[in-house]
Amino acid sequence: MRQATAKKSDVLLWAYCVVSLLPLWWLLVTALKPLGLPTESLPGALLPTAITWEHFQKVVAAEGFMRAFLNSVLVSTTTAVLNVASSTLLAFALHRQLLPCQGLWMTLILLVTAAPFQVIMIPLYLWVSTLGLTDRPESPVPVWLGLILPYAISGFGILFLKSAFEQIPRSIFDAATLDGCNQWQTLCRVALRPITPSLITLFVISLIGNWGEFLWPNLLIVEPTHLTLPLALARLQQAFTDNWRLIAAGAIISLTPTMMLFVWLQRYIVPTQNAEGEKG
Amino acid sequence: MAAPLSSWRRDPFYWAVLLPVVVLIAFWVWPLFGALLVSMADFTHDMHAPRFVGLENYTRLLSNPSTWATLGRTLLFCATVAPAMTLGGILLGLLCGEARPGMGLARGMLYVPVVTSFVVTALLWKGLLIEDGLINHTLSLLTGVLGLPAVRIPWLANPTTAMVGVTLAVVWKGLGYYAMFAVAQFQQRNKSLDEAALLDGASRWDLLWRITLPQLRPAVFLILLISTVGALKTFTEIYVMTNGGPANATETLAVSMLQRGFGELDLGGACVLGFVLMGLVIVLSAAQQWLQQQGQPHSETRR
Repeated sequence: MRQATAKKSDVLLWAYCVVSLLPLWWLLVTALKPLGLPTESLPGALLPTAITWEHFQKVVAAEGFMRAFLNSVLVSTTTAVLNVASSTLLAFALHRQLLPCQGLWMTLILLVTAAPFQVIMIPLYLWVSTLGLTDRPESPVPVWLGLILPYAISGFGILFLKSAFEQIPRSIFDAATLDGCNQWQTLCRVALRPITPSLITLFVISLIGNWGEFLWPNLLIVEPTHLTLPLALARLQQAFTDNWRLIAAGAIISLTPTMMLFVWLQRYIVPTQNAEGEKG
Repeated sequence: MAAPLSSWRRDPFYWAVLLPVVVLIAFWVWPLFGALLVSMADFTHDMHAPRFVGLENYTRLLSNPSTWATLGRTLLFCATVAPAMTLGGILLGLLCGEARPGMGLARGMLYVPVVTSFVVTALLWKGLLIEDGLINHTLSLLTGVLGLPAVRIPWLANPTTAMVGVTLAVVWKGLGYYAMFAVAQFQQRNKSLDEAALLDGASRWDLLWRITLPQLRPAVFLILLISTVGALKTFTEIYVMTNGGPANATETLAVSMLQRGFGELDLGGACVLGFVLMGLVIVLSAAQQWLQQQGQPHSETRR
C-alpha cells in the first residue's frame, strides 16, 4: 500500500520535472531545426529530426552579439567578485560589532534589502549621471562602473554572510584575539575558511543574477558595442521578429554558461538544508 | 564596542571595510532617501532643473484613476501568482522532499527554470504563446479529441489573455525556487510523529493532512509572502513579453513606473509609484521577519 502510493507520487513528480523542462528542450530543438521543418506543431516541434548549426552561425556573426557575450562575462564576473568581497567585509564588521552605530547599520541594511530596486532606480540614475558614469561612445568604462558599483554590494549578501559567520563558535574568535590577531588577520586566517561554502553560494547566485540582469543596464547602456547579453538578446528579438530559430539560438548561447555553472556547482545553489547525507 | 581610533592605524581591516561602507551609502542608502526628494519634485517642465512641489505628485497620482487600475492589476497578478507558487511549491516539495535516491536529480531538474534568466524565460514563453505556437497546437490536440475546433488564441496580443501568458512564464520560472522552501521545512519535520501515527493505524491520507501538512505551515506562509513580494517586483518578463500591453492589460506598478519615469519623464510621479510598491513590500517583509522568528524559537541557542 505504502509502496504503491509512493510510486504514484513519483510518477507525478517526474512528470512535472519533464514537462517543466520541455519548454527549454523546445528552445534547443528550435535552435537546431533547419528551415522548412516545423517548430510549432506536435510532435515535430519537439523532435530533432534534422540538425543544422546555421542559426547559431548567423547569431554569432550578427553585429555585436558575441561582443555582448564578452561584455557580460566581464561585467558579471567583476560584479560577483566585488559583491562577495564587500559583503564579506561588512558582514564580518557587523558580526564582530566593529562599526560605530551597529543598530543603525542593521536598520539601513534591512531597509535596503527590503527596498525594491525600482524605488532607488530613478535617484540612482540621476546620481550616476551626475557622477559622469553615463554611456559615451569612446569608452565602455564609465557605463560599466555605473552598472557594477550598485551591485558591488548587496543587502542580501551581507545578511547571508553574517548568518554564516554566526555559525562559527565564539571561542574561535576569542582564541584568535588572545593569540594577538588583529581583525584583518582574524578574518583572513580564521573566519574565512569555515564560511567558504557560503562564499561560493553567494558568488554563484550573484554571478547568475548579474548574467541575467536587464532593468539597470537597459536604462544605462546606449552604445551598441557596450551592450550586455540580455540586452543584445532582447534586441535580437526586435530585429528578427518571428524568426524563432535565430532567437532560440541566441537564447541557448546565453543559457549555456549558466547551465554549465549550475550543473557544476548545483550543491551550492539549490537550497536543500539537512539533505540527510544525500548530495543535493 | 566599536574599536578605538588608535587601532585603525594598525589594522588594515578598518581601511578595507571603508570601501563597501562608502558603496553601500552612495549607491543604496543615499538613492533610497533621494527617492523621497525626487518624489516631491517636478521634472516634467525641465528635466535638469527640478522644481520642489511638496506632496503634489502624491495627490496627483493618487487621484488619478489609472494609478488605481494599475494597483488593481498588480494585486490581481500577485493574487494569482502567489497561491500558484504556494500550492505548486508545497506539492512539489512533498513529492521530492524525502531523502531517497533520485530525489537530488529531481530537485536539480526543478531548479533549472530558476537559473534560466528573465530575458530567456520571457522570449521562450513569447515563442511558445504565439498564435501559431506550440501551446496552441498542443491545446488543439486536446480539443481535436473532443471534437472542438482548433485553438488559435493570440495569447499575448489579446488583452484578456495576456496576463495569463505572463503568469504562466513567471510561475514556470519561480516554482522550483519555492519548492525548495517546502523541501527544507519537510526535512525538519518531526519524523517520530509519522511513525506514531502509522502505528496508530493512520492511513497515508490522514498522515498527509493531519501530520505532515500542519508541520509545513511555516513554509506555506513563507512561500506566500516571498512569492507575493516577487510578483510585486516582476518587471523583465512583462517588459520583454508585452511591455505592459496590449491596452495596458499587463501594466503592473513596476512596469508603469518605468514608463512614467523614462517614457513621460515624470520622474517624481514614478518615485511616488515606487513608494507605493515599497510600502507593500515592507509590510510583507516585516510579516516575513516576524514569521521566521516565530518559526525558529531556538535560533539563539543554536551553535
